[in-house]
Amino acid sequence: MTRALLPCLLAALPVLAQPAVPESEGSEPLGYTPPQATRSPFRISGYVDVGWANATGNGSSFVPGDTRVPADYYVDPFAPAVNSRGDVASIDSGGRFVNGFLPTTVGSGGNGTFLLNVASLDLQVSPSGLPVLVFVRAQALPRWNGNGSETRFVLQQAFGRVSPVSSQELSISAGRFDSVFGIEYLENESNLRLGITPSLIARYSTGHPLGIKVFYRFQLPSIQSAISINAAATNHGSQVESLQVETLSFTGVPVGSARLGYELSLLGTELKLGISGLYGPRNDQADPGVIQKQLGFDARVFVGPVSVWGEYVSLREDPASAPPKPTGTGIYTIASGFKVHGFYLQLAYALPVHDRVLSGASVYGRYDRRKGGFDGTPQLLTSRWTVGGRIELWSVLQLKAEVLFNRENAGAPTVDNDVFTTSAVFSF
Amino acid sequence: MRRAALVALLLAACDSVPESDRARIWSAEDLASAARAGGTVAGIDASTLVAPGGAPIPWLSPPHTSTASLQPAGTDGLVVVPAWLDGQPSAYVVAEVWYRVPEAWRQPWYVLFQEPPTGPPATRIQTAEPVIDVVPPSFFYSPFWQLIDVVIPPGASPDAYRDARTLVDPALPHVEANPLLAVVPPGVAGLAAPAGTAPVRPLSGDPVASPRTTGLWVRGSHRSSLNFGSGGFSWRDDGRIVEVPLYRFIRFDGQALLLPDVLGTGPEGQPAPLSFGASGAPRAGAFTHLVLAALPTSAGVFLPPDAPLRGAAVLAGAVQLPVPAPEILARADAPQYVGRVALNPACFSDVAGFPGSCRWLDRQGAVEAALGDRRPQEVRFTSPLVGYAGRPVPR
Repeated sequence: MTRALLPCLLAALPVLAQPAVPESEGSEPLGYTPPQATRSPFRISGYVDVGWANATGNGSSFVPGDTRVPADYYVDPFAPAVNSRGDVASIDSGGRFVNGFLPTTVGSGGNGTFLLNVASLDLQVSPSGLPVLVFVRAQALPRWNGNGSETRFVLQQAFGRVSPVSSQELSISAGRFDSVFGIEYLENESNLRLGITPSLIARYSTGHPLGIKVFYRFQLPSIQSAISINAAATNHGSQVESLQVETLSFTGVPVGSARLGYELSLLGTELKLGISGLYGPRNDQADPGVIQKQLGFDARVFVGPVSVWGEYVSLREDPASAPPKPTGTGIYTIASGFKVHGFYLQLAYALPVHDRVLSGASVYGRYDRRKGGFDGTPQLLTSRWTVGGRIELWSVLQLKAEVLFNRENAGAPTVDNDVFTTSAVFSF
Repeated sequence: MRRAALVALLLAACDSVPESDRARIWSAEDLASAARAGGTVAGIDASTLVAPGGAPIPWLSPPHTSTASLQPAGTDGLVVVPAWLDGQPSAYVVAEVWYRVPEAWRQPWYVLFQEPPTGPPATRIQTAEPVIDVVPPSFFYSPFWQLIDVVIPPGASPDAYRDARTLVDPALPHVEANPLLAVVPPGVAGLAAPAGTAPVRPLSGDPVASPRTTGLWVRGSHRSSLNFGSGGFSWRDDGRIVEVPLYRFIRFDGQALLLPDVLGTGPEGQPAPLSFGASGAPRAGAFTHLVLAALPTSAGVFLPPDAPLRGAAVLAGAVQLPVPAPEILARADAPQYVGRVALNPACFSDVAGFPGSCRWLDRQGAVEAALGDRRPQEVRFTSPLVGYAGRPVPR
């Protein structure tokens, strides 16, 4: 498989080059914070992400002939991701029973295909002179659902934000927004992500929760530092919506999450560290006493053209006290006890190109490792090497290509589920 | 006042489900522990499921008999419970209790085969124990197995195949074989019976089959199981085990009447013809959903005049207890009717018409047609059949 993908990667190399690390807000985990309007209180922006992807094998992590059930407890169905949303090529378990540990899918199986990954439209309103911002991000997701084509429309974000003290970097948001856990949510959108696919642990931290959050940052200019706190009370925590539903709370009790961050900004060098925590009922069952606990650490270093990102997440979930298990992909039997930990380390190099046409180029690599499992079933140790590159043209078009080498190190059967994927992101 | 109501509402919303009310699969080992501690399992007295060493064996002790039969000290035994299956006397044991876990799934049980040096065909490696991959406390542990014969490469050591991960390799030939009912961990050595006697079906004294302990591998760790053979269950195309009702007769106030249960042959409300596996064992009754069924006071229980159960307080006024005609009691098959309920107990005196003139509640369809007050519980049993139609269930 590796041999099969290498030519694809090599063919893509000529078009690889840089853009700077895509930090939407320059620094901290406020999620996507649209810049303040200068003229009109209204601002419309967005992007279109078109890709071509090809997964090996049958496009899923499921092994033909393996009759253990639930099928999604014995493999990592999230491994063969093909786009920035974490959609995988296939979740076809071959008719075997599954229990809701599933990502969303484009349904392409093992075939190469063009994909309209997302068409995204942002509307931002900032009434002049008022400390209020309203933001809506609507997205269209055309997909093959197994029986026909359909286009799903999602309100990926919709929140209002108040900044009550003009002299302080303090804001209070209510609505649906980016998670506050860790740092990978900063790259949720295709136009903000350095590469294409999310990490193996992104499923635990890059959801779009619904609730309220508070962000506060204070500067320590004497030591060129800043400290920030980003805290939220939300329906479901920070997992992606295919695992836990954000739309409403099934337990009646919100989930608390927070990140404490430290930033050091020196000339040509930046260091950012964070610790995140999450505690509350799991929102794929109804008992408020069934708890999910999550802890994370993150670090980013920017030295000239080199950037290093790393993140660690550990999660424990109690077993449900009763069926069923509602998730974003359906209603399943019952939520099992679960524990997982994992990390990724990403290295990127921005090539020195700043032309009007070729406005940026970079190459990057990432190593992911994840170990997790459900009560009574094997702990699966899987890993992934991701290598890729991107160029940015006229500052509005990003062309990216990457290869995912998925590995089953222990617990899970070996399966052919590597991915070659590309993405063209047109921003406006 | 309004604030207090709000606080109460918030507290109610924050209430967690108590430990005793949480979904759980109680293994045979758990049942034995609970029975020894005098505890309950999903609201059921654990000592009615497992007889601890030295304790009276239910159904073989008062009120069903005049004297107590004791489980030998130092050993726990699964209680043999009399029942009716498709009109036939049968017996089962409760090897596991499923509380608020709604479904069971067929799981693979790998058996190692290998081509001998003399050439094909591949034969079972007698020294290699089977391999499974899901155990308690998983909600998806299941005692209902599909045997899968896996042929490992010639010359390969079976010791390298003690983890299911190595056996799901599509390169290895797989062949589906018989189903199997085996509980993990075993928890008890066998069925409850007084010292020096073989286990029997209470009330009729029919012999029953005993399980045997089988070793196996789970991800490289050696475990054991209590093996009940290939009968008792069937499954749907997706591998889901077909659940059948287990009707337990109660009074209208909910108190159990201590009478034999009725095992279904199909899902509740859908009785099916009883089918049999290759061994001759019935393919129903081993995964059951407890449903309490209230008997009308006009129904009667067939009991000989000297049956100690007649004196049970719980039966007084709850059902009719007419004395059967002597000619009927003298029939050779009379023990097969002891404890059986009829809607028209006058038939116990109908010497010419008995047993055909009785409207027995001894099969699923009859119970569902006659008893409207049925109360499904959030309890399911792994309830392997050990006796059917007066004989031990074939393995």
